Amino acid sequence: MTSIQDILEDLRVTASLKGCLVMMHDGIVVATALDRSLEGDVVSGLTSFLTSTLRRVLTESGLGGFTSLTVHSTHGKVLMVDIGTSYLVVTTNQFGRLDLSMPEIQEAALQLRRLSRISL
Amino acid sequence: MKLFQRLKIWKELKRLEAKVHENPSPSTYVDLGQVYLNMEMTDHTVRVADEGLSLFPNSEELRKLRKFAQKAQLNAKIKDLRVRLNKSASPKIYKELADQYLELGDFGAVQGIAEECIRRFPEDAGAYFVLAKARLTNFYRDMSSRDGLDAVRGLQRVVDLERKNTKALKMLAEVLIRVGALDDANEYLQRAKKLMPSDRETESLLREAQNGKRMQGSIDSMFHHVEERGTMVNASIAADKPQPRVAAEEAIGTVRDYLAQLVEVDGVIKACYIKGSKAMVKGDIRDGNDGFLRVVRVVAKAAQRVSRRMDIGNFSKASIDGEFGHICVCSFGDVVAALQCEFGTPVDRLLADLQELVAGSLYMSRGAER
Repeated sequence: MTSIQDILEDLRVTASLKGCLVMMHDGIVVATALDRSLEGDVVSGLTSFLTSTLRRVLTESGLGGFTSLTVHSTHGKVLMVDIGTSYLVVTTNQFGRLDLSMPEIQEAALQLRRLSRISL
Repeated sequence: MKLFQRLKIWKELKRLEAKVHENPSPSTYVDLGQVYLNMEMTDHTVRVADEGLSLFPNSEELRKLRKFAQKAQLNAKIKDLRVRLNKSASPKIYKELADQYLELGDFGAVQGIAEECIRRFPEDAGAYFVLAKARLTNFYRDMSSRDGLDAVRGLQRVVDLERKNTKALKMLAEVLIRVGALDDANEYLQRAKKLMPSDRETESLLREAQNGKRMQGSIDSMFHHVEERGTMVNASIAADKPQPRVAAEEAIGTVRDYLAQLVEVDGVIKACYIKGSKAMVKGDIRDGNDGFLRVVRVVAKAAQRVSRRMDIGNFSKASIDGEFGHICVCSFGDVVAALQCEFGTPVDRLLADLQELVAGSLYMSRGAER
């Protein structure tokens, strides 16, 4: 069976990403496939701050949960997809076309979701 | 001497970077981008142009600068793809190469590449699609019936080979609507609707296919009619979206009007414009404590903090998907514009509208300051 690490490595190559990782909802890193310029702990720490803040404010506002969050900045983009018990985090540079890579990202998210179900 | 020159250039760059942040305008961004271009740092030029375009999306100079820098980058990519193609040809590499040429605007090369790919891989829909897109672009630009008809035949081939290609179905329907072939367009839209029942774009096109002006005769004669008259029978669907009105003398009323126009777009539930502690809202919003406003403020602040710490520059826009539909946020400095819409609403288009709103309002406030 393909491991989480393999799925991330494949995704990183096929979707031309700067990096991707899987982290638990509390920010604990499960697996990473990142560029040398990125550190897993830093990316997961910052994205978990963002996801936990968003979850909290959405719940308090009565809007429910979120399935994905995309952040565009001047030098890069970050996409966070909820895959059940954890998040798939994807980063690209400012030229990366997340819309074009979406089929690969969704496919990886589906595989990761299946894997997490089997492991439970 | 060289060291002295380099120091001088770096000093100039530093000055221009500071100027861009202090006084953002298309010309300051262009000046900075050109210095990078002269130093053959095309990545930086594209970055500067992108930064400028996120604030001034309608600036022609910035678009030209970006195009020029991108051309240099694309040429390098094309060279690499050509080498890969010579080693082992595959439809994927052909498609990538054609996409690069399409981005460069070299339609002749796109046609050549796509035709070569079709000869070698006749059952691959990708090449037909790229070729049809290039011809469609030519048709919309020149209204040449030959390009239009070739595009329609190409797209028909794509939807025959890939029956679930909704993008091609919608593209085909749209061009047919624009020339007045509403019945044919309706047929393709029904197919698209079956595949994506809640897609807003398909619904808008279906409405247009029912209410638009209908022409009689064959499809060929309709395209010839458009070429002869020099205008389309039906207007573009994109023309329905609110048009930005950016002028220095227009004050806060324009922002209000623009928000009202945004809320009128099909699928949009509410929209807001926040500057500092003040917020202007339109749509289904109870009061200042509305959950949506709170989410927007928190997301804009948290995303800006994370972007800075991740070293990916300034936060410009975000989209959140969830049980509530989509929330789109666009920010620059202390200005934030956001909206909430239902599932299936074209988020990219709405984000572009929000960008226009933010950039337009900043432009206006600068004009008023002067």
